[in-house]
Amino acid sequence: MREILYFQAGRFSNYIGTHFWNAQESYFTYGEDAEEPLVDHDVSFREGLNHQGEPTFCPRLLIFDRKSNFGAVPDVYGDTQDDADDATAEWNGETVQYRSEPVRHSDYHARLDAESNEKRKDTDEQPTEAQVTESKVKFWSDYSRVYLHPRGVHRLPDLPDWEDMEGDWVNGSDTFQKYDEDSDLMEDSFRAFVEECDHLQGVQVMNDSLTFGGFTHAFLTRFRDDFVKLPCLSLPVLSGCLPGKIDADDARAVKKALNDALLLQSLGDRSTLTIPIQPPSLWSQGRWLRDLSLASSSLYQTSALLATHIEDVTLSMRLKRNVTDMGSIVSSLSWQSDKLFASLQGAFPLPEAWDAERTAEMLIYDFSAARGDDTSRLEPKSTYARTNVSRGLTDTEKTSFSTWAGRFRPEPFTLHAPAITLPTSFPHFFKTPNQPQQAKAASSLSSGAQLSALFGAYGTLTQACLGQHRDVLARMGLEVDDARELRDEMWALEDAYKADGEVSDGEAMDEYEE
Amino acid sequence: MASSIELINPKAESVRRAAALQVNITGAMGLANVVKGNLGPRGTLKMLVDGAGQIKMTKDGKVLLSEMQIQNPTAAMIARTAVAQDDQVGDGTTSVVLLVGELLKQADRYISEGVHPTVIAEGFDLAKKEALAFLDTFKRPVTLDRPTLINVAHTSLATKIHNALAKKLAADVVDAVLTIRPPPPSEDAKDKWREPIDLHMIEIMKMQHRTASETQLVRGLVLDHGARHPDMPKRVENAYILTLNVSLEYEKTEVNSGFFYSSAEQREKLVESERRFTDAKCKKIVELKNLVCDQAVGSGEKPKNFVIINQKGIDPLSLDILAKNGILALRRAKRRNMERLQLVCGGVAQNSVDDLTPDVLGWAGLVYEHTLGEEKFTFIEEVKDPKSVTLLIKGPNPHTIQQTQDALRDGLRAVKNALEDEALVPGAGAFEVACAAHLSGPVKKNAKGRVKMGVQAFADALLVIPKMLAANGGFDVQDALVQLQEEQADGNIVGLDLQSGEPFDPTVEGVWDNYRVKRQMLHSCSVIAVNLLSTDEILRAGRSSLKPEGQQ
Repeated sequence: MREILYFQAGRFSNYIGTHFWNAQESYFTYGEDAEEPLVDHDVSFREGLNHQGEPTFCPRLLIFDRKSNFGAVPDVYGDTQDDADDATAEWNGETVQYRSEPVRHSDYHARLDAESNEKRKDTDEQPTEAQVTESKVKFWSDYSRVYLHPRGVHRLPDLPDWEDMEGDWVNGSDTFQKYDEDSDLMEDSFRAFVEECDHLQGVQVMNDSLTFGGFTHAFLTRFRDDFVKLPCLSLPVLSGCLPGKIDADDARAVKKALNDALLLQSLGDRSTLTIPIQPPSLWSQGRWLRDLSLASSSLYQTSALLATHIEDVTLSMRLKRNVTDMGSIVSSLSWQSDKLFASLQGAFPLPEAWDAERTAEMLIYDFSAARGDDTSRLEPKSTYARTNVSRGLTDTEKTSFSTWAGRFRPEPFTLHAPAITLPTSFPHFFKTPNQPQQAKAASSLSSGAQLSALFGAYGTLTQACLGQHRDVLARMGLEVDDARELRDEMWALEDAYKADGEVSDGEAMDEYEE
Repeated sequence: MASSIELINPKAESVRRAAALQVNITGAMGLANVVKGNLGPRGTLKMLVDGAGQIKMTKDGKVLLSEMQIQNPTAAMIARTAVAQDDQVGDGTTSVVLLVGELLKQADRYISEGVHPTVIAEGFDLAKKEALAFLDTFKRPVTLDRPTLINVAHTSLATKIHNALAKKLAADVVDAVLTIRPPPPSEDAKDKWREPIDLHMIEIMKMQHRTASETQLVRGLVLDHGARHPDMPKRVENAYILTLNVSLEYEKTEVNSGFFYSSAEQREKLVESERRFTDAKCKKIVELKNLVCDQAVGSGEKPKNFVIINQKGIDPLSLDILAKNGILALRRAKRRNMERLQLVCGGVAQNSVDDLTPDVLGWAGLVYEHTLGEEKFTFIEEVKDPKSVTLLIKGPNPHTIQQTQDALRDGLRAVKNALEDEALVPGAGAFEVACAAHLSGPVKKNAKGRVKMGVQAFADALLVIPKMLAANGGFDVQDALVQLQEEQADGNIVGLDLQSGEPFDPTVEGVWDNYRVKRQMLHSCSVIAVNLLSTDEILRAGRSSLKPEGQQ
C-alpha cells in the first residue's frame, strides 16, 4: 500500500543497489510459523507470474547501466534462451549468427543454486554455505540475491572506447531522451510499475553523477511532468572531483565537477530530499574504520558499507509496524530551506557495549563530507535537523545514544531497530576472525551547515568557468546564461545553509580549501 | 616528419594524407561488408546473441548498426549518418552504408592512379546534383489506391519478415494508416494543406503469446492494463467511456506527517476528513453514470454500462466505490491514450470532475479484459468510425516480437511516405540502374575535364545496389547486371526479379520504393563520402587512463 519505486543508474550505484537489495531479501521469513517480518515486502517488491506460471517476487526497480556492466543477471522469466533453434522461424531466408562470448554465471550463483537444490532434496547433510569470492566479482550481478523483473532491466548500448561520456551533462540528457523514445521507457516500464501501485509513497533515486548525471536529470524532469508532488529521495554519488581541490586548469576535472553541480541544482528543484554521497576515493582513513579492513579501491566492499547506511536511514519507509513514509522522513528533516539536502552519516560496525556518549564522534563518519575526520559536522549548533536509526543496540546502549543525540535541537527522532542480519553476499571485511552473522550500526541523515561550503565551492568554480575557463562551458555545450543561473543557485544554497553568525563568504571558502 | 599535433601533445596519434584516406576507405568498406548481406528481401537475417544470452534478430541496418560495437571512428561516423537517415525517413540505412563504402572504393581506384581526392569529390557533388534531378523525372506520380499502397507496404515488410507474414501484415499496415490519416482539407478551405499523418495515433501493443502470424489490426484500442478490483466486470457491452485525467487517490496534506500524531485516533480522524475530498470526486462520477445508464425496468433496451479510463491513479477505496456502482475503471493509462481514446470512442477527455455532462462521454460496443500470465490487456472494440487503431503484435518470445515490431514500423513509415510524397519510385534496383546510365551518359559528357572521373565513379558506385540484390538472391552478379543494363538501354524501366534472377518491370509487379528515401539516400551518402575524401589528417588525442580511484 505504501509502494516505493526505485531508480538505479550507473556502475557504482548498482554495486550499492545490489547490496541494498540483498539486505531487503534478508528480511524475508519463510515457513508457516516464521515470525512476522520486520519489513513490509510489498513496499519494495512486486508479486507476479512468470511465463511458466510460477509466482515471482521482484524489486520494483528500474535499473540502468551500460550493457557490458550487467554481467549475467539471473533471469526468472525465462526470456533469455540459450538455444535459439526456434528463433529463426520468422524468416524464410538465410540466417547469420553473431555470438558474443557468453558471460558465465558467478560461482556464488552456482553455489546458491546448488544450495536451493539440496534444500529441495531435503538431505540431512549440512550444505556448505555459499560465499562470495571477492577477487571473482567482476559485475555487480555476480553477488545479487534477487531476481530482477525484465521490465526493470535497461541495458544501454556500450560506448566506443574513444568516446568520453564522463561528466558530459548534455549528452547524458540526450541519451535519456533517445532511450525513452526508442524503448518507450516512461510509458511502458515506468508507467507499468506505477500502475500496479495502490498508493505510491515516493521514488528513491540512486545514480552515478559521472556517467548518469544528465540522464537522471532528464528522467526526473519527465517524472515531474506527471507527478508534481510525489516525494522523491535521491542519493547521487558524486564524481570525486571536488571544486577547490582540483587543478583549475585540468579541463576534464572541472567538467566533472561542473557536472556534479548541475546535478545538485537539478535535484534541488526536482527531488524532495537529496543526499549527496562522496565516492570512496575521497573518504579519509581514520579511526572510524578501526574495526574494518576496508579496501577503499574495492567497489564491492565500499558499496556494501554505503548500502548498509542507506538501507538503515530509509528503513522506516518499509517497516511493517510503526508506519511512516517517505514524506515523513522528508518533513522530519525539513527546516526553512525549500530545497532540502542532507548528509548521510553512520557508524558500522559498532563495538560490543557501545558507549555513544564517548565514541560517537569518533565512529560516525560523514559520507557526504568532502573532508574526512571532521567531527564539527556532528556539532549540534550547525545541525538544523537530524534523524537517527540504530540497529541492534541494547537498552544501555540506547540510553547512551539518546543522551548523545539529545544534544541536537530540535531533538532528532531516533528509530531503534533490531540488528542487521548479514547475507552471505556481504563482504568479509571485518577484523574479527569469523564473519559475524549479525551486526550493529547507527546511521543518520543530517541537514546542516556542513553542506554550505560545498555549494559555495561549486558556485566559485562556476564563476571561474564564466571567467577565464569559458572553454569548458563551450566544450560541455552549456549556455552562458545557464552557467550564470547555476552559479547564482549554488551561492544561494551556500547562504541558505550557512549557520547563523558563521564567517563570511570568503573565509568559509578558505577554510574549505585549506 | 612528426605531425605538429604530436609536438604539443605527445599522447596524440596522427595519420596524414594518403594514410588518412586509406584509414577512411578501409573503415567505410569494412562497414559496408558487414551490412551488405542484409540488402533486399533475400538478404540474410542476422542473429545477435550477447554475453548475457539476449537475442536480437534483425535485418534492419539501423538496428544492426546501433547494436554493434563499432570501434572504428570512420565506421562510427558513417553509422551515425545512416541511423539519422532512418530517423528522418524510416528506411534506407543499409543502402547508405553500402553506397558510402562503394563510393570510396570507386574513388580509391582513381586516387591510386594519381588523381587528387578533391577532384573526385567535385565529381561526386556534380553527380549528386544530377542524380537528384534525375530522381525527380524518374518518380511516378501514381494513384495511391489501397492495392498500390499494399504493394508499397509489402515491399518494405518483405525485406524484414518472411513472405507469408509480410503479405498478411501489408494490408493491416495500409488500413491502419488510412484510418488515422487526417481528412483532406475541405473545398472552401483557404490553404489546401492537409495535416501530416501522425503515426503515434497507431498504438503498437505487444503480447508474448502464440505466434507472429497472429499479429493483427484491431479497430479500436488495446490497453496494457486491466481493472484493479476483483468485483469489477471483466466484460461489458454498450458502454459509455469516460476519459479522465483526475487523481482519484487520497492525497494527504502537508501537516499529515507520521511523526506528529499523539494518538492513532487523531490520525484516523485526519485521514477521514482528507478522504472526503476523494470520495466526493468519485460520487460525481457515479452521479453521471446513474444519469446516463439508468433505465426504466422492463424498457426492453439493451443495458448500458460505464467505463472509466484514467490517466492518473485510483486508490483501492475509490475503486471500491466505483465497483459497487458497476463501473469498470482503469488507472494510469498511457498519456498518449488520452488522445487516442477520443479518436477511437469520441467524447472529450476531462481534467476535472466538476463539469461532467453526458456529451463528454465516448462510446464502445464492447470492452473486455484479457489476462495473460501476470499481464492484463483491455480491449476497447466495436466502436463507430475510429480515427485511431491498434496493431497487436504477437510472438512466442521477445526477439520475435521485436523483429515484427521493427518491420511494422518500417512498413508504416513506407505507407506514410508514399501518401505524403504522392509519388513512388520503381524498386528492385530500377532507379540505380537507370540513374547510373544517365550519369555515365549525358551527365559525364557535359562535365568538364577531370570532374568526369568523379561522375563515372559515382555512377559505378550506384550499381552496388542491384549487384548486392543479385548476390543476396544467389544469382550471378555480372550476368544479372549486364542483362539489366541491356534492357535499360532499350529504354525500359527494369529491375531485378529476385525469384528468377531475370530483369522485370517493377511497376507491373508492384515493387515500389519511397521517393523521399531515395532522395535522402543520395544526399547522405554523397555528403559523407565527400567529407571522408577531403580528410587529410586524422588525429586521435591521447586518452587519459587516470580513472578516479575507487573504480576497478
